Amino acid sequence: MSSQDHSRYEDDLAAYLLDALAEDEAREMERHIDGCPRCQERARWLQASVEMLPTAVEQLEPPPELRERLMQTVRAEAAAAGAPDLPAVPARTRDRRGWLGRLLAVPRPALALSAMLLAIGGGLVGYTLGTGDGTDSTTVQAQVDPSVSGARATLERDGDQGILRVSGLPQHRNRIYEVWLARGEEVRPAGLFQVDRGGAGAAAIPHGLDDADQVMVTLERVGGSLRPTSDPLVTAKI
Amino acid sequence: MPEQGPNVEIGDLQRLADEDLMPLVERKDPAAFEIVYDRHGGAAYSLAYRIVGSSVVAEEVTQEAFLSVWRSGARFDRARGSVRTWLLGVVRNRAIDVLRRESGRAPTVSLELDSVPEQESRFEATDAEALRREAGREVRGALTELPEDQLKVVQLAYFGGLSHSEIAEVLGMPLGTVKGRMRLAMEKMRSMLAEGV
Repeated sequence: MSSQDHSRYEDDLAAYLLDALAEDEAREMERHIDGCPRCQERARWLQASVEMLPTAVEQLEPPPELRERLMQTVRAEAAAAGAPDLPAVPARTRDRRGWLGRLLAVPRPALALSAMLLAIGGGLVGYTLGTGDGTDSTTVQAQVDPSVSGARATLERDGDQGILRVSGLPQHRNRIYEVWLARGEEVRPAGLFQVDRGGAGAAAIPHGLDDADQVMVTLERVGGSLRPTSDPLVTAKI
Repeated sequence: MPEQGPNVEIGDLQRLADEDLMPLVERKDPAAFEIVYDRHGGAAYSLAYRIVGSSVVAEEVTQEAFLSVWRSGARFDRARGSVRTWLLGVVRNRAIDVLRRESGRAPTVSLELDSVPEQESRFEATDAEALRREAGREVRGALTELPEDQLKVVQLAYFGGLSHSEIAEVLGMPLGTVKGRMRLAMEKMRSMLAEGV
């Protein structure tokens, strides 16, 4: 790379850190930073300036109702998803872990079998998977956009809740995968997830599947979006 | 488990650093999440208010941001900065999204750093929060030392969510000038930090 090209990136670095580049420019800058130790070092140095800005805002007291609402939601979702195996959780709570919690906690032979069946079955949609504890779940193979060829996704559903598992999706720096529940034209956010280096990831959907006709995944910026800003990469019809 | 058990354990959690709480949040521990909110909810709400200019909308933004963190705590990467920085980044993104959605485009952003009255009398700050507020006052003072034209482009970008080309259009100046002012402002701010602001 010529010094002139490099200087262009240096000129844009402050704008990038302030989130003031256009989307395509930002992606190009990220690719450059990934391979440029000099810009990595300068970005780290300047990042402290960006972190000054929220510090400079006058501090206000948030309404107590906000905390109450948040904690009500959080506790309800923790209960729905199954409490974690943490020392802080009373034993009686851990014993109440539900289907989703158990699914998240351990890979089970039944799921390995389901993955194998899915691979063999190709376009098989909506087969039933016994959970062995008296409940049934349904696994739906999702459609994956051709732009992420080789990727796969399944939605494992149990009533109103479920878990979306993906493999082969590209890992992105400064981008996040966001799950959406759609009913007709109405789309609402349902969670965020990242994939590991191998492209595998999962997102729990604690509730809302009963009111949705499809689950979608888009690529969004860190923190997620309130509305999808790109075309769906994964679509699972319910 | 004895009734007092959870209280003792919450006390233990409160001694953990943010970065050590996040794995617990990722594992859906409400007590860990509650502590993270108590530490950073005020800063998050204040930042949201600074961007959207409405207490009702700021409340919605803060709620959505913290719920997104709760639902995907795994996104936090300690190699890329502090929990506080990451959280405030999430809040800012949400707030800018709202601004853009509600205005059709961004925004009329206040260029006054201290345009929001501080509510000292109603805010029972912890020691840590009091230190942050003091640091905030010092940072605000330092920022006022930046040339106004440099401060303006930084504020339009960070608090207004405008891209550099949008700022150039709003201020009626060449794109290169906007980029240059951003770079100079960021470098000066960084130097102030190095000098102990």
